[in-house]
Amino acid sequence: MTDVLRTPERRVEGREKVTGTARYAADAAREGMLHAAFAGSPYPHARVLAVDTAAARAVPGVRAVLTGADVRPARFGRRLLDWPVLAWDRVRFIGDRVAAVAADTPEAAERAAALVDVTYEELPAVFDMDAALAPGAPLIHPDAADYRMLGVTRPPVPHPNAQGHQVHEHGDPAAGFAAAARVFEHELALPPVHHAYLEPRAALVWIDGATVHVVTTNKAPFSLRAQLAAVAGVAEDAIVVHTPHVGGDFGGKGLSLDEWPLYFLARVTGRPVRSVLRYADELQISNTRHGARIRLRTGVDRDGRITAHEARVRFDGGAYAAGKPIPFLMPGEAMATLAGYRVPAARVEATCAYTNHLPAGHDRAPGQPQNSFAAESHLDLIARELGVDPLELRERNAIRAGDVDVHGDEWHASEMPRVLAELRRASGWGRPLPPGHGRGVALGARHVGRGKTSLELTLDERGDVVVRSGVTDQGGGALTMIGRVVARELAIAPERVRVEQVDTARSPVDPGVGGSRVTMVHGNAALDGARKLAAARDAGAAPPIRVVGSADQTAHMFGSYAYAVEVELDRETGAFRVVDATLVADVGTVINPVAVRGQLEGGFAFGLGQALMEELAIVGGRVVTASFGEYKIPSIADVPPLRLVLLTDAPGPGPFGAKSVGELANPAVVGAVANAVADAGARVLTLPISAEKVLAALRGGAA
Amino acid sequence: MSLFSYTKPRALSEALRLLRGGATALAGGTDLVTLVRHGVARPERLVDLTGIEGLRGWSREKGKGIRIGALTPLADLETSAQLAKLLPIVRESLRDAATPQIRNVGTVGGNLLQRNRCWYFRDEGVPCWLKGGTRCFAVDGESRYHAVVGAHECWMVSPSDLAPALIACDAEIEVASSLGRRRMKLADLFVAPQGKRRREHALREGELVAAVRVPEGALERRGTYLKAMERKAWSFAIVSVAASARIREGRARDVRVVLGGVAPVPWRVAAAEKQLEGTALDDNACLAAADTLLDGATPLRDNGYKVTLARELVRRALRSLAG
Repeated sequence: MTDVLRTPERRVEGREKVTGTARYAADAAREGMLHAAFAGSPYPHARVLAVDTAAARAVPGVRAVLTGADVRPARFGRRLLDWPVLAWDRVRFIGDRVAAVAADTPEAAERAAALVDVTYEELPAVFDMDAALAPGAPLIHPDAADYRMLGVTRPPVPHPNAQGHQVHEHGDPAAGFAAAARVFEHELALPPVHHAYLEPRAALVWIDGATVHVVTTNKAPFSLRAQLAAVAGVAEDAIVVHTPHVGGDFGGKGLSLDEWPLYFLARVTGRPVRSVLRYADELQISNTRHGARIRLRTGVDRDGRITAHEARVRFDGGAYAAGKPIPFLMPGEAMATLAGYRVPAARVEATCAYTNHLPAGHDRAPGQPQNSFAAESHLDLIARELGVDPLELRERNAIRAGDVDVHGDEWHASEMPRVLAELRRASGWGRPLPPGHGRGVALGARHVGRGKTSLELTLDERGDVVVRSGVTDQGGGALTMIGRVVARELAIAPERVRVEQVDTARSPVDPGVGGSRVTMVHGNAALDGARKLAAARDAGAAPPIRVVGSADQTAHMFGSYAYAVEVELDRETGAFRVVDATLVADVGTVINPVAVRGQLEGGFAFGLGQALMEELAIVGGRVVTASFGEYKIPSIADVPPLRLVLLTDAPGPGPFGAKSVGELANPAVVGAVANAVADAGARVLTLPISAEKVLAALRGGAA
Repeated sequence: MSLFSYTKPRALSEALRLLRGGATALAGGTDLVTLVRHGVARPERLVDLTGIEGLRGWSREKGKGIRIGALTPLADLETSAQLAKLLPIVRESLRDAATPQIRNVGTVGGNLLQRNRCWYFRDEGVPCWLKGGTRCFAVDGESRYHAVVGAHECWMVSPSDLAPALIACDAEIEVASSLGRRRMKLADLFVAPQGKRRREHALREGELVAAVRVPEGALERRGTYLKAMERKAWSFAIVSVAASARIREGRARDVRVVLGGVAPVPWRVAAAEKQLEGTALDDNACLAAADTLLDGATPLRDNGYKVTLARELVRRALRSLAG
C-alpha cells in the first residue's frame, strides 16, 4: 500500500462544508429558546450610578432583564477573572456590558436593551499604554487585589495599571554593548488588529436539571468548562460544552463573551437562551491583537554580529486581561524580540498595560508580529547603516546549533542557515530590480506546540477504526490529521478511520486548539493509540478493541522560516504593490499536504493584511472601523503569487517527524514588506504601511 | 434591526404612490439593507422597485444620446462591449466599484443615491450632525476618509464611483414622482448637507430617479477615471478623478474634471475647467487646474494626504486624455 502521507488529504468535514450542511453554533436552536441582547457603555471609563430597567421590561416579549446587581460578583477570564459579566460599579471601555435581556425575538431583545437607562458619572480615561503606566494615571482596576486567578498565583506587577510584566536577562549586556563597534536604537509601533474570522461568536445555553449545556464557538471547550465552573460556582462535571464546527478562530475564539450572561439569563428564565454577536460587536468589543510600541537597542561588532540587545516592549492590553491565557498575562511571545537570531547577551523588559480600549487577547502567534516587525525593521536599518546586504546580515546572525537565542536558550539544532541559503537561491536574491522596485527579507522562528491530551480509539471487526476526541476543528484540519496518522500507522486507507469530535461529557480532558499544538499533541496521541491498537491486534485480542492514546509533548524545538518580498512603488502617490514573494519554511514531515500549504499561504495573506491595511482605528476609546467596509483585510487581488519552498527533512517532535505550521508563517510578513518598501526608498516605522506614510517618508517626513 | 412592511409593486405608478405616502425605495439593497441592519436607517415601509418593468437596461437613440434605466444593474453597464465603445469611462469607473457580487445586484439609481460612508454616520451609537445630532465627529476625530473641501456642518464625502464619471459626461437624470416627471442635471442631485438640509441628495419627498441621460455631444469626448484605493478591490476611493475632453489638433476643448472622495458632493470647479480650454494638457496646465480645483481646501487632522493625491491624480487623468 502506498504511503498515506504521499496523497493529498480529503478533509473529513469537507463535504458538509461545501454543501452547506455543516452546523455552526449560530445554527443551534432549542424548543422555547429566547434571544439575548446587551446594553453597553457609551463611555470609555465611568462609574455606574444607577440602572433603570423598567422601560426595557415593559417591551412585549421580554422575559428577563439582568444588570450588574444580579450577577455580582461574577467576573470571567481565561486566566485572570477581571471582566465583570455585567458591570455593576464601573465600566472600563465603550461597549462594556451593563445589562442583558432575554426576549422571545431578537428584535424585542434589542429594543429592550436600547431602553435600559443607565446613569453614569464619567471618569478620566487613559488610552495610551505609557500614560497608563505613568505615576498618577487614573486607576482602571482599583479592586484588582480581589480578582481570582485560575490555577496559579498572579505574578507581581510594577504598576496597578499593569496587566503583566516580565524581565529577562542573560549574558552580560553591559559588557556586550561596551564591546560593540556600533549601537543602534529604534522605536516602532503597531495598532491593534482583529482576526477577521468569518463566523462571529455565538452561543446557546440551557440548564437541564443539574446540568448546564453550552453550545459555543469557543475552540477550547474544556477550558470554557473550567472557566464557567469558576464563574457560576458549579462543578465542572455539571457542565457540558458542545463545540460544533468553528468558522475560523486565529486565536480569538479562545475567549468567550456571551456565555456568561447567557448562563445567568438561562438560570433566571428556565429557558434556553441564544445570542449571535453582530460583527460590529466583534470589531468593537471582542479581543484584538495587542497594539504595541517597541524600542530596541542592539550592539554589533565590526562585521555586524550582535554583541548585546536591549528591548522595551509595551502592549496595549485594553480594559481587561481576561482574554489572555498565560499566567504572565501578556501575549504569548511578548519577550521574543529577536526571534531566530544568536543573541549572546540581552535584557528584555515587556509590560502589558490596562487602558480604556477594548480588551486585547490572543491572535495567531500572539506577540510575534509585533516583535517581528520591530526586530526585522531594526536589523534592516542596521544593515543599511553598516552597508551590509540585509540578507547577508541575517546570515551572519542566524542562530546555529549551540547558539543561545534572545531568551538565553541554547538551540540544539537549527535549520535557520539552511532556510536562508534556500531563500537566497529560490528568490533570486541579488538579481537586478526594475526602477521603482524594492526587495526585503525577514526571518522568523516559532516554537512547536506543547501540551498533553488523550483520545479514544476503537478497532472493529472489519478492521475499521473510530477515534473520539474532544478537540475542536476550527478549520485547521485537526480531525483529518488524526485520521491520517492512525491510517498510516495501521497501514489502512484513511477512509477506514472515522474521527468523531465529541462534547466534554464524552471525552477525556483536552487542551483545545491553540499554541500550534494540535498536530504535535493530538497527532502524537493518535499515533500512540494506533500503536496500542496494532499491538493488541497482533497479540490476538478480539475486536472490538478499545484503547486510549495519550501524548505529553514537552520537546523544545523551533520551526524556522524566511520571506523575500518584492514591491513596486509609485513615487508620486506613495502607493505600492507587493508583486512577488518567496517563503522558505522548515515544516518537518507533512501530514496534511493541502492544509500545510493552506496554512502557509493563508499565514502570508494574514500577515500581508497587517502590513498593508489592517488597523482598528480607535478614537477616544471608540472603534470607528466597525465593519469590513472600514476594517479592511486583503482581497485576493492584493495577494501576489507566493513561491513556497518546504524543507521537510529535519524532523520535529510530532507524529512521523511533523512540526507545527499554523502560526509559523504570519509574523514575519510585516517586516519583509516594510523592508522591501524601505529598499524602494521609504522606511515606515508604524503599521499599516499606507500610501500616505510611504509618501511622507519619500518626502523626508516622519512616518 | 427595526421592523418594517414590504411591498413589491409591478407598476411604477403604484410605487410612486407608495413613495408619496412616505415609503422608502429599495432596489438592489446593497446599501439600504446594511443601513437597516446596523440600525442607522429605520424605514417603516419599504417599496421594492425591482418588480417594475421599463426601468432596466440602456439604449441609444441617434442624436439623442444614451438613456440608462435607474434599475439597470451596474454589472450590465460594466460588461457591455457596446457601451464600452460609446462611453469607456463608465466601464472604467465601475471596474473598481465595490465587488462583482455587489455590481451584479446594485443598480445605477442605487449607486447614485447611496448614503455616505462616514464611519461616524454609520455607527448607530454616534449621534452625528447628519443624523440629527449637534456636531460632526470627524472634525476633531479620526478623519482620514473625510472631506478636504466644500464641507459645511458635515464632513462626509460623496462615495459613488459612477457619479463623477457620469457628471464628466454632462449626464442628466429623469426624476419621477406621482406628480409628474422633471429633468435635472445629475450634478444637481448632490448637495452638501448644511443648515436645515441634513441630506446629501436633492430629491424631494416621494421622488425617484427613473433614468440617467448622457447627451450625444459627450460621446465625442475622451474620458478617463482614476481611483486611489486602500486595497485592490472593494474599497471606496480615497480620491478619484473623472476627466473628459475633446482633443482637436493637440488642444483640449470642453474639459470636465470631477473629483470623488474629497467633498460632500462630486467636486467640480468651473474655473479649473475653463483654464484648461485650449491648452495641450501639459503638466503645468494640469497642475494649475488641480490647484484651482483644490483652492480653499482645508484638510482635517488626518486627511491632508488627499490634497497631494488629488493633485497628482488630476495631472495623470488629464495627461492621459492628451496622450
